Amino acid sequence: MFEHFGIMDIFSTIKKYKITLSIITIFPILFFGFKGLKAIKNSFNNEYPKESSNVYLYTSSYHVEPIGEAVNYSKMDAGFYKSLPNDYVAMINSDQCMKYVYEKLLQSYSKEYIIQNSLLKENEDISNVDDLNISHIAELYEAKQYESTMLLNIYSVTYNEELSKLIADTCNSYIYENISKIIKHSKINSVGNTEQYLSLKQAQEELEPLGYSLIEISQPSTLKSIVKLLIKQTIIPIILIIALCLFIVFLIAFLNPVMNRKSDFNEYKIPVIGEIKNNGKIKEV
Amino acid sequence: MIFKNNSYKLDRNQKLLQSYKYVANSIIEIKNTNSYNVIGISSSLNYKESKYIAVKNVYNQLIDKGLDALLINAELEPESNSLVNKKGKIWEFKNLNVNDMKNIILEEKEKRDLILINIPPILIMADALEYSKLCDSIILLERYSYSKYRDYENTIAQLNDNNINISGVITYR
Repeated sequence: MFEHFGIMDIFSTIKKYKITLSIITIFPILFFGFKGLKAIKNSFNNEYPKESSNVYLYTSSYHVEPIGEAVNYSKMDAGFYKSLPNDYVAMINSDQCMKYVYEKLLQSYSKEYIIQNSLLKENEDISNVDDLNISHIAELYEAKQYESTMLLNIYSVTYNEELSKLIADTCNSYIYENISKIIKHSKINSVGNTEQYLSLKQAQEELEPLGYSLIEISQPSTLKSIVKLLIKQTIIPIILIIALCLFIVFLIAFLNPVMNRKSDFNEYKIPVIGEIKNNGKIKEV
Repeated sequence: MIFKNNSYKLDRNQKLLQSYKYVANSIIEIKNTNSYNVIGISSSLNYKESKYIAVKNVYNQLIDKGLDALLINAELEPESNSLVNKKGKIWEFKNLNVNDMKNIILEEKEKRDLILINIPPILIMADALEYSKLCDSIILLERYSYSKYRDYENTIAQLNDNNINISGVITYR
């Protein structure tokens, strides 16, 4: 299988398709190069809020308990029992709930007010007020089951106390007006609410261990972070592309064997009477 | 004692020229050893222009060595008019009849030291094999990285089946 295959075949295949390979690699290299430079530039521009900013963290807690036939299933299957809050979490984080919250917010506040008083003001996608849409509401609140308990928490984080409270209250009304009517296997009861005025750093420290990703803080740009960013955004993709090209070259060289050296011709007992040392296009001498 | 500049340093063009000269010397040796007067140069590859330029370069080196050689460029182009151009020492033929080619070779064989015929690929053009039969011997011109084993083997098989002598192969990159 490998009688007619060697390193020379790979080099000659690379040389044969050098223009094609250059074109295939140059565009991704440029693309990932720009992407890396942009990421470095953004890290200097601090697209995320500074950790010293203060926010209102509003927490609403709820307890879920099975009802009806679900009580018997819960006794038989602990996994089913612990998964009951997930239905509520999914519906609170759904597009329907976000749309409900979005419309309620717009009844009380303007888009500009919402953007300026929430973490949305650092969002790159919102270059002007009209860019605000339902999908951005996901950055204002988040619902999650607390560990493996029957509790679920809804956190809302903004720079304005009233705005945070309104978001939490709107989620609360959505739960009782819509979700409770749909879910028949359990009922949900409010446990209580808390309101905290924290720095962004403190809020992040509180939410991150619980798995919430509402808050991202800009980190100071150090050489190590820049190098790490460059490696992740640029160098690794480029290496992968070059490796892919080499693999394709290997396949071509392996599956399409051609004669690459004098010894390949010697096999046929016809003497090689001369080698023309021409590299490239043949021209008259 | 250190000898400076005591080496042969050739640039690219000089190396290329020397390789053509080497090929020309080999052809002269083949001619003299076997008393060949008509040598055909064919290939398993489908390269028209670059092969002809290579053959022409070899021919020029043969002339430089004082050989009274004639180069016949025997092209075969389907659905094209035939052409006969006998000017100078390089003759251009297109779609020439095999019998006419035979007559021309017989006519010029006695007058010249060597007749070199640039023959199209045998695997592609049927008449190329007929031209090859008119030669005393065939030399194959092959390119590294492009000549396939299968095509080369088939070319050799065709020539051997028709009892056509193959003197050697010239390679280029």
